[in-house]
Amino acid sequence: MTRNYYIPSLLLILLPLLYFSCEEKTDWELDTNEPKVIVVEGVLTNERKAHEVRISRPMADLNGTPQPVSGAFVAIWETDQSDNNRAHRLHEVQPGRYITDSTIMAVYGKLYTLFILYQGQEYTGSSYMVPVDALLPLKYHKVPGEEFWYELNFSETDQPSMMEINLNWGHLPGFRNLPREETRARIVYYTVKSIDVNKIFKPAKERVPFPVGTRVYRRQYSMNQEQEDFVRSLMAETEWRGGLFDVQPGNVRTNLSPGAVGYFSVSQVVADTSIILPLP
Amino acid sequence: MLMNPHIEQELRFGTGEAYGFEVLLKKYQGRLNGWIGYAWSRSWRHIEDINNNERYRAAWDRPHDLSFYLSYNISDRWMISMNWLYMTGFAFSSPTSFYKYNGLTVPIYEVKNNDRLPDYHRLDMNAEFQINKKPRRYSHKIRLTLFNLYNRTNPIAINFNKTLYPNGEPVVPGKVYPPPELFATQKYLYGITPAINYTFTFK
Repeated sequence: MTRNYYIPSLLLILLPLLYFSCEEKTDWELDTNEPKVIVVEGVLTNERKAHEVRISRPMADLNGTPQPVSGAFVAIWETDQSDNNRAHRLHEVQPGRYITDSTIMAVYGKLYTLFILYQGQEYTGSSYMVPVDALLPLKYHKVPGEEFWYELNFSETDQPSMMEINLNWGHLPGFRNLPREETRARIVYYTVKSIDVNKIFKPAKERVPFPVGTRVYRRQYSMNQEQEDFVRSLMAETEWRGGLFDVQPGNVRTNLSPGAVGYFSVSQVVADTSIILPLP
Repeated sequence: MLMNPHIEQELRFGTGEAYGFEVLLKKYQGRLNGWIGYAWSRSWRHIEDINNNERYRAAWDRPHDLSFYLSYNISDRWMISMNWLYMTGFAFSSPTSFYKYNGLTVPIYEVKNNDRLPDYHRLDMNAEFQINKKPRRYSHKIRLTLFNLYNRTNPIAINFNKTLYPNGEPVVPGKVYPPPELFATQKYLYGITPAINYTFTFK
């Protein structure tokens, strides 16, 4: 009898060894440098407001702070279907932060080209606007075991899109004196319609709980086909990297000319504001 | 890839180059048997539009490969054995810089397969028992193996996109504000792992 129990007992002892963590923090020495490329983040929307283009330099450190690129000449050209052009110059309001005046807004059927001249080098990138889906109703659920804390439900839109969600609970009693970082969160969620194995088996994501009474400000941006391709490669290198099935590492796409990384996008935007109410 | 109607446009063609040498010493006599093998090899690829059109080392370019096997027949029915493997780590692409885009930290790669995973090595131990005393028409054996006996962490991937959750688990950041602190993480398949193998053979 003793012999019959021996092997199962041994297995039970050894079985937990199989479940050792498969991923752990490591100190990895990277052979980094600071390449001479510029990083461009530009978004033009259908809203009548000052639009912003940010230009910076890459960082050698994973948690570094990007150095702004100051003194660049930045303009946006809009071209209609009859090849009529109109230029809008952007003005630097802070180092690396360039804004338009509030007369420019994106419309359908026009091509928008971002032009940057910096240290004698020209950089360009073009995009156009496609319609955005209507906002889906805001959905959220209780954090298990927590009576007044909630988490958002994320659902994909019919068309490719970017959802930007700002959460703020700094106005609530008990949170008013806390630092800003502890009472606010910004979430960016992309819908890309491709079928990617690294997306299906993407790694676990941090959960973002917030209390009842939180203000939720949502902005949903449309994305054209080229931007969807860019976001797909962006996700492969960020949110989808490190899952069960990874793709070969590679540089993220861009619509900017050589020497620049990042993206210049043109989007239609819909937005709404909600308050998180208690769920039954 | 399956849904891509223009898959031909995604294909890149090029050449590969591999060279090296291999030596093997073995002993198959008596109760103590074994062998030791060593290979030195290099493997390169050259593909247009990849790595700025320059030659780069293949992912499986592992210059040193050493393996050692030893077995001892305790009796007609019992045998114990061990093997030890050592290989240079796989080549992989590590970022040479990063940039921020919409709150995400994006890697920049300058040279393909510019880095290497740590060297791979592990020790396995086996104990094999012949169940039937005199194998005539058939034989059946049971084997207990302990893979990776000294519980070596052999990484299969290094990533640079994780933050640490309060329970210490590495996860992808769920928010871009407040800016998350990112860490390098290593993934590995298994530590010490037991296995039982049953073999039935007709003579």
